[in-house]
Amino acid sequence: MTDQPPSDRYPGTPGWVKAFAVIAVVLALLIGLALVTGLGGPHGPQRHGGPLESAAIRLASGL
Amino acid sequence: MRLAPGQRRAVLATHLALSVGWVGAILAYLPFDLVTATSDEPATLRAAYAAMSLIAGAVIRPLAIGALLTGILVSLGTTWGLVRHWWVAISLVMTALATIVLLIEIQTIEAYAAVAADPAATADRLQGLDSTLLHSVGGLLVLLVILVMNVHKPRGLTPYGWRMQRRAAETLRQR
Repeated sequence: MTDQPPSDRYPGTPGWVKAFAVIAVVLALLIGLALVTGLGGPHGPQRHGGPLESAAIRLASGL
Repeated sequence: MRLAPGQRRAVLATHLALSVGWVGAILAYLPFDLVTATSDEPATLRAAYAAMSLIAGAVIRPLAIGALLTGILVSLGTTWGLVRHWWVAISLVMTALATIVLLIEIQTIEAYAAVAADPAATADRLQGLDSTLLHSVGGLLVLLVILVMNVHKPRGLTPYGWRMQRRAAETLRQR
């Protein structure tokens, strides 16, 4: 097995990029968790629906 | 595609103005957002949501889209490229994500402003509206990280950028 000269090989991903990637994954997981569990509250324009709108939706859907 | 030096300076100046303007517009938006998070006064809430909707829709949205588009133009029109350097690629992804989240959030802000503008909306209804503080502070932090990264330009080529650099060096050697 012969090693290629260092200049012919990709020097590798810099450490700061790896650190960035770890932080991005952790943040994405936290945001995903908040959305799935509902801790982040409802998202989108529908979240301005107050009790009247909610009652109207429940009535319309027969609940 | 390479921009001529004069074009490059003009696009870069536009990109800087739009990007820094985006940060400034969020700073102008934040006090109103803070008011909606802390105040129970209906008249104050009505005014704050109206101001937030105006700033977000008429100022922040065009600045964000403009910053993203001019950023892509500057990258493609210079030797930096879009995905040759990690700092450029990461800045692009973060700016694109911030713009997408912003465009979604603006729909919510405009919906809140519509409720706040309704004279029939009761105090309870107005106090029940959320603030967007988490999104605006988060967005500001993302923009500041991009800003610092664009000033420092940390070293590091992507595998694609490294191949392109090597190919260019070989071409020069053969001449």
